[in-house]
Amino acid sequence: VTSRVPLLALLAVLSVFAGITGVRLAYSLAYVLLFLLIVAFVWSRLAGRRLEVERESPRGHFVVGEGFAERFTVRNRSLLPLPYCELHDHSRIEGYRPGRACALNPGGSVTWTTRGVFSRRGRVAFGPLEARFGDPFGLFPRSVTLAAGEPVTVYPAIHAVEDVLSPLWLGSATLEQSRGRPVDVAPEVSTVREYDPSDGLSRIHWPSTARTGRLMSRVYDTRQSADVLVLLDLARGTHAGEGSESSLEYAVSLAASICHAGLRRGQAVGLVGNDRDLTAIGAGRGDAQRLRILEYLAVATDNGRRSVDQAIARHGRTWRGRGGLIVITSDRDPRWVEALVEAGERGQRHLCVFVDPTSFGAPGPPLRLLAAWRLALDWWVVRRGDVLGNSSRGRVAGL
Amino acid sequence: MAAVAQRRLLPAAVATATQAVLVVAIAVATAGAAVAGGWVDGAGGVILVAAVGAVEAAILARSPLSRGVTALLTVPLAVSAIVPLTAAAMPDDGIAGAGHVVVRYVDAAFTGLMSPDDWPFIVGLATVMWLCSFWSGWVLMRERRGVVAVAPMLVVLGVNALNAPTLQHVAPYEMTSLTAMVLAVGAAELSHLDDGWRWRAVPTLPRLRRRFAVAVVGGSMVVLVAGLLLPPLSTTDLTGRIFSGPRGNGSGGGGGGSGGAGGTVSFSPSTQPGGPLHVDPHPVLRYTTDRPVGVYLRAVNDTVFDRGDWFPDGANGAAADPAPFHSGPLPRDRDPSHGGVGTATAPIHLHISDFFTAPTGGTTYGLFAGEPDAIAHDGTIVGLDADGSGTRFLVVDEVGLNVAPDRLGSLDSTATLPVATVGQLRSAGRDYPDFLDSFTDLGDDERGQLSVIHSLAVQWTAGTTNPYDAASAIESHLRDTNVFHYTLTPPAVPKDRWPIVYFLTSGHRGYCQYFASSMGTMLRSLGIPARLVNGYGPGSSEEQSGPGRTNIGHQVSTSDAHTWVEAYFPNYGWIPFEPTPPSDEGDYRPLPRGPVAVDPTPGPTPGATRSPGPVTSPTPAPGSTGPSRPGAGPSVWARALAGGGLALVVAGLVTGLGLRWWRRPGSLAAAWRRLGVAGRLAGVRRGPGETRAGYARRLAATLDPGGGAAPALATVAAACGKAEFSRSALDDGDTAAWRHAWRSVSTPLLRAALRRARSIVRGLR
Repeated sequence: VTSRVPLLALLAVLSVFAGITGVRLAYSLAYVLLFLLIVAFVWSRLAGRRLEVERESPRGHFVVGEGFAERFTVRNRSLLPLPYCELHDHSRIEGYRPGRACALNPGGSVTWTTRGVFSRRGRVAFGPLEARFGDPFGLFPRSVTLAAGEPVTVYPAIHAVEDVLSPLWLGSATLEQSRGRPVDVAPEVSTVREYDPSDGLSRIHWPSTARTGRLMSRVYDTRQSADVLVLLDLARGTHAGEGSESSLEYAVSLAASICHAGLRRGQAVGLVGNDRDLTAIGAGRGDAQRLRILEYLAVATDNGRRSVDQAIARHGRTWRGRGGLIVITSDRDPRWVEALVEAGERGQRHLCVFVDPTSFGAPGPPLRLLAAWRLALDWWVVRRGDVLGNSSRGRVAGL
Repeated sequence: MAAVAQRRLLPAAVATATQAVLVVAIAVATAGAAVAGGWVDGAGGVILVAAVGAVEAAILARSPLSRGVTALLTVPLAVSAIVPLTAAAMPDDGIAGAGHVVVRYVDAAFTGLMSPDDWPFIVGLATVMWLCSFWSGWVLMRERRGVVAVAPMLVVLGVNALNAPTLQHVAPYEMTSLTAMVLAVGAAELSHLDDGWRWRAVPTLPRLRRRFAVAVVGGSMVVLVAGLLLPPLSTTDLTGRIFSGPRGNGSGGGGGGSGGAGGTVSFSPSTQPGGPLHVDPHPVLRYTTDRPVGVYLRAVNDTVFDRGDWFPDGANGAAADPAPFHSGPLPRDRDPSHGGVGTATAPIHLHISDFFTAPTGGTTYGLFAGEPDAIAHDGTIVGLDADGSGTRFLVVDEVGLNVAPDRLGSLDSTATLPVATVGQLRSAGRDYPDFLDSFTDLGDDERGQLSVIHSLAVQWTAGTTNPYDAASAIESHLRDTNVFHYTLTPPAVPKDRWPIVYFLTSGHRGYCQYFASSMGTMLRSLGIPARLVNGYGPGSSEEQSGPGRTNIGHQVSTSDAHTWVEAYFPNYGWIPFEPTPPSDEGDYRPLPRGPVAVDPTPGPTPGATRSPGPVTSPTPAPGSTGPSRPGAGPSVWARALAGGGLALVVAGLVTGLGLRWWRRPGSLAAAWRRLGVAGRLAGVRRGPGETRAGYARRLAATLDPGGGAAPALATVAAACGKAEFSRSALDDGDTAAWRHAWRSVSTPLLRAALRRARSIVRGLR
C-alpha cells in the first residue's frame, strides 16, 4: 500500500461529507489534502522532466586489479528545487558504488568523481544508471533509468610465471633441437621497419612500402622454443568456490598468465577450452594472438559438457609432436591424467596445473598424485591463497 | 568535484527531536481541536493525555524494543496516562470496589463517546486521542511512514470538523495540526530516504537535508495557503435531505408562530425551533386596516429565553398576574420618557371582519397591527407593569380577551407603528431603561453554545458603531439566501446542540422560528434588548368593494403564522425586524423605516395575490450599511476567483491531456491517423493513389516549408510502409525510430496545422 492510498481514501470521504454538510473547515481539510496530492504529483513530474544526468565512463580494456575513474554530473534544469535525487548504479563491479544522494536548487548542478578497481574479469558495462527522485512528501516517487554505456573488457589477472615454466620450455626445445628435427612452423611477421640496405629484396614488405612511400622491411618473430597448447578445463561442475576466490578464476588467471608468458617468449601458443562451444584457438604468436586469447579468457565460463579427459584425447593426438601440452584443471577424476600420459610421446613432457578444488571448499577427498604420474608428468598444484607469481616457485610440485 | 559526505549531515538527534516535536504538536493540536469543538465540558485533560501518548511513542520508537513488546506496553501506558487525569472526576455511583472501577473505565473507554454523560465521554475521548497520538508517534518515528502515521489524526480532524457542536474555536487548532501533519509527512519521508541510503551505503552530498527541509516547508506552505484560501464550493447543508431522523434534543414538532402541534404550520405562542413541518392551510381571518397594505398581526410576545427556545412569560421583572381591563385604550404608561412607548409612532387601526377559525388556539388573544394600544373587547393584559397597579403597563406581551375563541365574530384594535428613521435609530444610543434588564437575559450557558452565538454575533457585527447597525447586520446576514435558506424541513440537529446553534453554524436551513430565535438571541448576547413576536404575516390581499369606496382586504390562513423580532431603541421603543428571508412559503421583506412604514407609496395588488411584506423598505439595504460579513460564505469575487481558477485548472488539464494524447499515439496506425488529421486541418488531403511517403513530403512542404519536419514525417511514412508491405514486422529499432520521429514532429505539426487552418478560415471570411 503506497502512501497515496490512505490519503486518497481520506480525501474522498472528506470531500463527500464536506459537500453534504457545507462545513467550510471540512472543505479546507479536503482542499489541503487535494492540493497536497496535486503539488506532489506536479513537483515529481516537473522535476523529473528537467533532470539531466551525465556519466563519463572509461573505455577500452583493462586487467583485473586495474583501477579506473568515473565522473558524474547531475543538473536540475527545472524551476522547482529537486528535494532529493539518488543515483543508483546497476553496474556489476564488485565493491564499486558510485551512486550518491543529492538535492539540487533550481538550475543547480553537482559533479563528483568515483574510483574503482576491476576485481572480476569479463565484459563489464557501466550502468544502467537509475535516478530515483520525487516530491518531498514521498507520494509520487519516480525513477528514470539511463542506458548502460559501451562495455569494457576486463582481462584475467596476469601473473609472472615465466620462471615457473622455463624448465619445461627449455627442456622441450633442447630436446627437439638436439634430435635435429626440422622446425615445420613458417616464420611469422610480427611488424615492419625501415628498409636497411643489408636487407634482401624478399624481405621488403611491398604493401607498406606503397602505403608509406618508403621502403619497408618485414621483421620476423624468432622462434626460441617449442609451441605450447594450453588446455583449460571448463567442464560444468568441476570447479569450486565463488567469485574471485574460485578455482575457475584461478584456472583462468593461470591460463592467461601462461599464455602471456609463452607469447612474450616468442612461442606459438594455442588455447583449448572444453566449454559449451568447445573453443579452440589455434597456435599463434604475437600481440594479435595474445589479445585473441585474452578476449576469450575474459568471458570464459565453466559451462562445458565434455570432461577434460575427452578434450585431452581429442587435442592430444593432433598436438602430438608439436610441443608441450599444459592442462589446467580442477578435475579429481584420474582418467584425465591417464589420457594425458597417453597423449605424450617419447621426449615430450606435459605440465599439469592442478587447481585443488578441495581448498576452495569442494567436498570429497583431494586428488592423490601417484608416483607414476609424477614421473610421467610435470605437476603444479595450486591451492586457494597461493601467490601465483614467481614467488610461488617453492609450491610447484614436480618441477 | 563535490565533496562526498559519508556521514549524515545533521546529527540523528536533531532529526529525532524535530519529529518528536511535530508528533507532539499534532497530538496537542488535534486534541485541542476536539476540546474546542465543545463536545463536553472539562475535557482539557485530554490534551495532556494526547501529549503523553505522543511522547511515550517517541521514546519507544527510538528504543530498541520490538513491535511486539511495544504492543504489550500500550495498555499499561494508556492506563497510566488516562486514569490519573480522569479518576478525580469519576462520578460516584454508590458502588465501591476496584473491580467496579475497572469495569467502568473499560466500559467508558470503549463506549464513552456514545454516552450522554460527561465522564464516560471524556474517558472515551482521552482513549481515542491517546491511541491516535501513540500510533502517530510510533509509525512516524519507527516505521517512517508519514501518511499512514497521521491518517488517524486526519480522521479525528475530519470527524470533529463535520460534527463538533461548535466550530468557533476549532479552526486554528485544526489548521495547526494539519500544518504539523504535512511537515511531519515530509520529515518522515526524509528519514525514510536517509535510512535507505544508509542501508544501501549511498553517500549523501552536502546540503541535502537542508534543501530537502526547505522543499518540505515551501511545499507545505503552498499546500496550506492554497487550501485555506479556496472558498467552499457550497455552504448548503444537505444532511437533512439525505439523512432523516429526529432532532437530538427531542423537541419534535413545530412551535411558535409558525409551528404547531403535530408539525403543521399554525400559530403557537412559544417559539421552539424543531423538526420538519408541513403546510395544511386553513382560512383563519379576514382583515382590513386604514393603510393600503397588509400588516403583521401581533398576538403574543416571547420574552423568556430558555436553552435555545423562547416562551411567553408574564414574570418579566415586575410583571404581575394578568390584569383585567375594559374595552378601549389599554392601561399603558404612555409617557415616552418612561420608555414604555416611543416618540416617533403612528397609529394604525385593524378591523377583523371575519374569523373562520380560532386564530390563536384555545386562548383568545387580541390581535394588533403593531404595538398594542386599544381594543374593543374586555380582557386581561400580561406584561410589565410600572408599579404593579395594573394600570401603567410599560410592556404589553399579550392581551387575552374575555370571549371564547369560537364566539369571536369581529375585532377592532388600534396599535402604533414606529416611524423613526434610520438616522434616528442609529443615534438612539444604548441608554436603556432599567425595566428592560430581563430582555437581555439568556440564562446559563449550556456547553458553550451561548458563547458560540455571541462569537458569531460579534463576528457579524464587527465594525458597527450602534445597536441599529448591529441589528441590521444580523438581519441581513440571516436574510442572505446564499447562506441561509428557508425550509420547512430543516436538517436533523445533532445531539446536545441547540437547534439555533446548529442552524447558525452548520445547518443554515430552517423556518421563521429559526431565523427569529437566532436573531433575538444574538441581539440579547450583544446586550440589545430583544423579544420575539408571534402572530401572523400579512396574508393574501383581495379587493373589497364597499359603498362609495374600494378597500383592500386581507385573508390570513394558518400557513401565515409567523414569528419576527423586535429590538428596543431608547426613545423610539420596540422596532420590528424581519430576519426571515423570502421563499416560496412567504415573501418576507425587510421592514421599512420612517414615515413610509405606515404610508407606503406602492399600492397593493388587486386580486387574490400573496401579500408582500407590510411595505417596501425605503431604507438602504442593511447589507450595504452593515459591516463586511466574515463567515457568511464566500463573496462574489471569491467565488469568481475560485470558479476562474477551477476553469483554468480544468482547461490546463484538458489541454495537457490532449497534447499528451497527441504526442503519444498507441500505435503506428494511430500516429498516421493523427498525421491525417493535421493534414485535413491544414487543408492537405491525401490524394487517391498517393503513396504515404509522397503525402508526407507534400504535407511537410505545405506546413513546414523550411524542411525541418520532412525527415521525421518521412520516417513515419516509411515505417507505415514497412508495416504494411514488408514481410518482417517492425523491429524494436523501427518502432523506436518512428516514435522518436513522431514525438519530435507532432507538436510543431499540430501548431502549423492549426495556424494554417486559422488562415484558411480567415480567408473564407
